[in-house]
This record gives sequence, structure tokens and C-alpha cells, in this order.
Amino acid sequence: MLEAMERCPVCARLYAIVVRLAYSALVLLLVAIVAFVGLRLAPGDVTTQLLDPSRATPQELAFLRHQLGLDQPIHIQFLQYLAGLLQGDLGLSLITRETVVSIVANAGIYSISLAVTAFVLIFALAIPLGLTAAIWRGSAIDAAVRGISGVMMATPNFVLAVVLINLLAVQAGWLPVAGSGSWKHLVLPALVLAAEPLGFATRLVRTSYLEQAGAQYADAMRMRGLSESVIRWRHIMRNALLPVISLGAVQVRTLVGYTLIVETIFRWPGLGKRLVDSVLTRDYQVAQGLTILLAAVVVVATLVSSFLYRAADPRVRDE
Amino acid sequence: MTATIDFDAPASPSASVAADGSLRRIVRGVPWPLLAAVALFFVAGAIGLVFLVAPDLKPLVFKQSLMRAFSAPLSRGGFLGADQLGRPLEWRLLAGLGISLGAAAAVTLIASVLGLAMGLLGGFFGLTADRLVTVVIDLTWAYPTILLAVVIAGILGPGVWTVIWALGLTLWAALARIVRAQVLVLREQDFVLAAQALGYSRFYIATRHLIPNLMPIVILMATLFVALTIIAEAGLSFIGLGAQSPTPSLGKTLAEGFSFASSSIWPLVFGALTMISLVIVLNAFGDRVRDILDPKGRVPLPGRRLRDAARRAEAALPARAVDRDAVIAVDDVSVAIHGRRGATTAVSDLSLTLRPGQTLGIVGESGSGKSLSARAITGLLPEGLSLSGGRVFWDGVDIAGLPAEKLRDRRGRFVAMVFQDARASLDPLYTIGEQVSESLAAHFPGPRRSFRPKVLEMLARVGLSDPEIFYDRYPHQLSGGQLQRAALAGVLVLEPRVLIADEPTTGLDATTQKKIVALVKALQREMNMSVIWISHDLDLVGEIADEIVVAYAGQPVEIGTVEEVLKRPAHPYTLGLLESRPQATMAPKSPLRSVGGTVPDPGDWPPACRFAPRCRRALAICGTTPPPMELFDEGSGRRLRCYNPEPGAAEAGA
Repeated sequence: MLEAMERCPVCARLYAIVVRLAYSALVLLLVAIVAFVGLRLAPGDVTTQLLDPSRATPQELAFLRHQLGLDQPIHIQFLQYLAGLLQGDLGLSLITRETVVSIVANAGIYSISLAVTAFVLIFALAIPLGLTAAIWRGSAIDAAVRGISGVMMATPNFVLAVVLINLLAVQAGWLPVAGSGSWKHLVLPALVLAAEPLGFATRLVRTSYLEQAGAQYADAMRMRGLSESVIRWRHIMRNALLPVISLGAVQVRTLVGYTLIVETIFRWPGLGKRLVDSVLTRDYQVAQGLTILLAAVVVVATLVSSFLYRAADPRVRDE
Repeated sequence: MTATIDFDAPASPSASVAADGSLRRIVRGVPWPLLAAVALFFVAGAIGLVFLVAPDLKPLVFKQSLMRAFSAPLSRGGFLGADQLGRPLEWRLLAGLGISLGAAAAVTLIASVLGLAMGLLGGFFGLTADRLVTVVIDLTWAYPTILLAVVIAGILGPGVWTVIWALGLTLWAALARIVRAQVLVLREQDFVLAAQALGYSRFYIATRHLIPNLMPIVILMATLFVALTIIAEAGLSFIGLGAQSPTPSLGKTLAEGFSFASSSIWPLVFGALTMISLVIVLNAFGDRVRDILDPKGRVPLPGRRLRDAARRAEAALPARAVDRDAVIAVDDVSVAIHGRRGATTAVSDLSLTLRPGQTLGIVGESGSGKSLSARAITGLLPEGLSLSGGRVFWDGVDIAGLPAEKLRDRRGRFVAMVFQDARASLDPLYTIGEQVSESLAAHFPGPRRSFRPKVLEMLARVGLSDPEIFYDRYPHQLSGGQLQRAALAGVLVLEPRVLIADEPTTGLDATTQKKIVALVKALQREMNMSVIWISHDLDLVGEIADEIVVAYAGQPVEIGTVEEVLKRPAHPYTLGLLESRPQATMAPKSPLRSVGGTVPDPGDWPPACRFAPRCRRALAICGTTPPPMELFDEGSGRRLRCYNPEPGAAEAGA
């Protein structure tokens, strides 16, 4: 087997990709188990939400439990749930009677539009800002970029939300305060969502460029008479932007977490807000389905970034 | 928050940082205003916690325990005003700091212990444990803190403990990844291997040897964890999963300030100011700690490149007589390091000539300035250094007078340089062929690909047989010897007149060393190239050089032919270097002699003869008047900087 791999580098790479995919599937399975078991540990179960325990008879409760399959052993319940998941069935809200899939269908587009806008904003700004600061290191521009990104990283998103709502919505009247309906509604949440990750990404790009600019290969190239522009744009830049690929997955993870807060602030009807609401109303089926879905987004983003990294860095390709 | 830690952090602090005194180093290295600010927040938090535990103490400090709801600052005896329940804001902020920093301490404890334990487990307790740890880390990664907080809030209900567990159970993974990576390095080091050979248990080695070496990274991550907790707690309290009323955590203060902003803006303003300043202070502290624990990551401030005013003025002077035959002539050059406290001279009084086809060796201990001397010759010093005096002539032309573009074009074609670490001198992301082609593309017209035949020929000439294959190889796919050959190809494809080789064989095994030396010698003959070979290895230099420059503390101390300098050293330092190396002709068991002491750093040089404090033959004058570089031997042209040369050399020279 190993010999065959050595003789066929393409097979070896395909094999590595298959292993990586299988591994991500394993992580996804564990993600589902954690959400399923974790939310089963919660006090009480859905039956006490559906029927008032003080008024319902034990027989009624037992019947309901049986109907919902809650009297089965937990691993059987999980396998049934997993079978549902694999068929695209994320569960059913026992309070609003919506399927989780329909919640995702309705709220998902809001979350995706918000997160994608923020994601684009982060990279469209962080890369040029970080590089500018690094190239003119020690200048006023550098100091300004570092200062602003430092403040961005230290400001909780709802504080920034208050400031921006006051300035742009209440005082200037350019944008709506909250809610949804037009692209204008998207601007403030996207800005607030992007702010902290943007500060972090800018600093990372700056540091990464400076690290590469100080690398010996740059000096060695100068010694061979290569021009500064070739060294900078062809070599330093490409090396410096490698970490940005893994940063992509980091930022997806950050955004998945932050949408929960930002959607709540702006009453943006996305998945994050639905998830928080479902936990506060103890609608565990919805909480479980949405949790698994959002965690799966992170797993897939990590997988994608690992493949991109593999494509961009020959050292990783050979591992 | 959690997600802002780069899980794939490539630049983790070096494993060799010892734990000894890392705390002391932090306390010393962090500027005192920053340290005071951090301390202030923690003291305030401690006071807040005391009040929470013992509410009876509160009236002793605050005039009123309750005021009118939404009192404005500085009204009715209140200082910062009151919140919606009439609680004085200064009290709320103190208590909030107490709860938030207390939660941060708990999170830091959970995440540090878990991260350290899991990292050690993965890195040091076998493959099965490692796989298990990796899976758990990746599983944890799939849950952003706030998402996990949702699950935990489902179990525990919303509250401060939910925040603590959600953060503690996600942040540890970042630490565990770094710890694991460091352990993989540490476990190959001698002290660990020795302990294992002695039969100590893994647990013993982990606790006694590994953990102390991992403490700096734990401390660094801990400072991050505190800042992350403060922010995350605020966010979670805001969406209702964190602290519940009336618990006055910092985040809850802010969240309620947000809800009641239309009644009074002040709770939000003061809350936000407190939190933002706290996090900025913590982040600045973390940055400083990283710089202290990992100085490699710190990037020096920009230095002035070349050309000081003094140098300009000097360049305007008519050139002194320059050896017209010389390929390179260096006239009284000095190099300065620009630091925070002004300039320090690192190389001085450097004068030498290099003739066509000649090989010049520069020898000396580390810190003698031999590499910097060579870099000065190329006219390209590392950032932060500059030529502070003297002139460098290439083919009789003062390079200070050359325009930058012309200088760039000649660099590479006239003078080129290879480095000790060939791997570091190549870009890991491009193939060998691409990089060698770039050398040509920098000086000749035509697309990069059109140079392929020439590049293939050069690869073959440096001994990379099967050049077609090596053309498409990446640096990481080559061995040390192959890499140095590739680096040589990148330089020699331009057929430079002068090759500067900065210890290119150090770090290679003896056989490979010999092959590389033979290769350079052969190509030198073919291309009629002059070579400057920098080394600390006198035998090696003796083998290849025609002339030797012995450098000490930034100065040449003896320059002469190989035969003269090595057979009859005149400078006591040269003799010291010669005596300190093992020789086949030595009597068995005779001890190696070494020059006592070490080379002083630039800035600490003795005022007169820089070698005097370590010299066996030092006279009174050596400590008072700097010795000049003088012709020592008319016949061979040897020059020497010494008042009291070794007697053996004097006799022979006379």
C-alpha cells in the first residue's frame, strides 16, 4: 500500500483528501452527539413545556413521552435523530410547530447575507489596511491603523452598535435603527459584526507582512539584484498572506458566534436570533438543530480552508 | 473573543525560553504605567469582590447605598450617578470589575489547566493519546464560545457560571494546540532524552522538565484569556445568557445601560469606558508580554538605510589612491547600528582589497563582525544598520556614487552572496527553477520561462544531476547539501565577478562540506571569480583562501597570506584561534588551549586595543593607545594591528 503511494503521488494526495473528509465527518458526528446529549442534560424535558406538569396526569405525560419517543434509551433516540439528520430532517419545534428546516429556510438567508457581507468587509479592509500599515511601519498611518484596530478589538459589539445607531440612525437619519427589509437595514449590523474580527485581522496581516519582510530570503534576493517590487509583491506578499487562509476559517467561526449577539441587538431575523430565543424559551429541538447546523458551518469552513492552504503551500501539500 | 485566537499560530514562542524568572522578566520588561494600570483594575476588582461578599462594608465607603433611579453624575452627593434601581454607578462598576475579573480568573484557571494537560497528553503520551486529543480539540473548535454558551445555558440556565464554563471549555483548545506543538519540539531536546534514558516516568518528566518550560506560553495565553472573558461576558450578558439581574457584572451593567439608554446614557457611557480601557490595557499588556517572552517576533524599528550626512560629505572628497587592479577595494569602512539610544559602531577600520580570481578568507569568533564586514562590501546592510564611514569600490568605482537602480543591477552580476542557512535564503513557495530564473529575469530581458535552458544548465553545473527534476522541486523537498547547491545556482547563474560566501558549509555534515567547497573552487576557476569566504573554521579557510583577514571585535587585526598567517601568526588573537582547534599533529592527550573570555559586544569595546583584556602579551600601551594597522612584513605584505606581536612571527618576518 505504502509502496503504491510512493509510486503514485496523485493517489497519495487523493488518499490524503479522502482521509481529511472522513475526519471532518467524524467531527461532525461528535458535534451532533455533544449537542444532543448536552441539551438532554437540561432540567425537565419537552413534555413539561407542552403540558403543564401541575395539571396533566402522569398518564398523559407518559403517553406524550411515548409518542415523542422519549421513553426509548438515549442512544436509540440519537440514532433516530441522526437518521433524520441524514435525510435533512433537523427536527420540529414543539412550541411553534414549525420544522427546523423551515426555520432555516426562512431565517438562513438573513444570516447568510449578514455574515457574508461582514466576511467580505473584513477581508476587503483588513488586507489593504494591514499591508499599508506594515509597509509604512512607524508612520502616522501605521499608528492610526494600529490604534483603531486596538480599539475595535476592545469594544464589545453592542457598545459599538449604540454608537453607530446614535450617529448614523438617530442623529443623521441615514439608516434604520433596527429590523430588516432593505439593504439599508443590513449596513449597521454588518459593520458591527465585522468590527472586532476586522481589528484582529488587520493586526494579523500587518504582523505577518513584517515577519516575512524580515525573512532572510528577501535579503538573499536583494543580493541577487532582484528589484524591490518583485521581492515585495511576488514573494513577501504571497508568504505574508498564507496565514490569511487559516484566518478565513477563524473568522467564519467568530462570525457564527457573533451573529447570535448582533442579530439580537438589531432584531435581525436570522438563525442566531432564533437560536438564542429557542434556548430562552427552552425549545430544545430547535436549539439542537440550529446548534448542530452552525457548528457544521464551522467544520466545513475549516475543511475548506485546510484544502485552500494545501493548494497554496507546497510544504503542506507533501505532508 | 475566543475566535480571535489564531489556532494555527505559526509564530509560537520559541521552545527554548526557560521558565526561570519569566515572571520577573515580565515585571521588569513591561513599562511601569502599563503595569500600574493593570494592577489598578485588579485592585479595584478585588475591592468590588470584598463588597459583594461583605455588603456591610459598603456604607463605610459610599455615602448612599441607594439613590434616585437614573441620577445624573455629580448630583445629590453621587459621583457617577445611579442606575435604573438607584444603585450608585461607582459601586456597580467596582462590583462589576470584581465579578468580571473573578470570572476571568476562573476561566483562565480552567483553560490553562485543561490546555496544559491536554497539550502534554497529546504531545508526550503516545500516538493514541495524541489522536484523541486532536479530535477533542477539533470538536471544541467547531463550537464557537457563544454557541457552546447556548448549549451550556440550556443545561445550567443563564448565569455567570454558564459564561465561565462556556469560555473555559472553548479557550483551552487554543492553548492545548500550542502546548502540543512545543512539546513535540521539547521532547527531542537533550534534557528530556537524558531524563528518559535515566528511566524517569513520563509523568515525572512532564511535570518536572516540560511544564516549567511551557510556563511562558501559559502566561502569555492567560493574559489573552482574561481580555477575552471580559468581552465575551459582556456579549453573553447582553443576549440574556450571562449574568442575571441583580448580579452587577460589567457586562450586565453595560447591557442594562443599553436597555435604559433613553432614560440615562451615563451607565452605558461609564460602563463602556471602563470596559474598553480595561481591555485595551490588557491587550497592550499581552502584546508586551509576547515581546518579552518571544523577542524573535519583535520587529525592529526602521533604521536609516545607508548614507549619513557625514558619509555624503566624505564621498565628495577626491578619491584616495585606489588599487586599480582590485575587483573590490574597501577603504576605512565603518558600520553603525542604529538603536534606541543612538548609533553604536559595529565594524570599524575595515580596509582590504580583492584581486581577480583571488580568494580571501575572513575569520573570527561569533561577534567579531565578519558577516557585517562582508555585507558592507555588498552595499546592502540589514535594516537598522548603515555605513557610517569609509568607501567601497567595485572595479574602482565608489558605490556611494552609483544610482540605486544601477547598484541593484550590478548587485548579483558583480557581487553576489550566499548564506549559511540555504533553506532560509530560498522562498518556500516557489520551485528551485522559478527562483533561479528570477535571478536572470532581474537582469536580462525576456519572460521568466525563456531562461529555462540556462537554468537547467546551471543546476547541472552545481551538481544537481537530473536538473529537469530539481527545476520543479520546492525547497522543502531538498536536503541540506542540495539546498546549498540550489542557492549557489541562483547566485552563480549570473556569473558574478565576486562571490561572498557567509559560512555556507556550517551545519552540513563533513562529507557534504567538502563537496560544496570543492564545487565552489571548481566554479571559481571556470568563471574566474573572486571569492570572499567567511568562516570561523581556520582549517577550512586555510584550504581554500589565498589571503586571510582575522577579525576581532569589529576590526581586522591581521591580514596576510594564508602561509604567513597560519604558519607564523603574528597577532596573539590569531595564535589563540589556531591553538584552540584540534589538530592531527598534536601529541595525544595534550589539552586544547582556548582564548579565555568572549568577544565584547559593540558598545563595550575597550578604548585602545580591543583584544587587550583577553591578551596574554598585553603591554601598558595596549590599554591606552589604539594600535594602528601597520605593514608588518614588506615581502609578503602582511599587515598587523599589534604592539607586541608573537615572537615566532617576527623572526620569520624579519
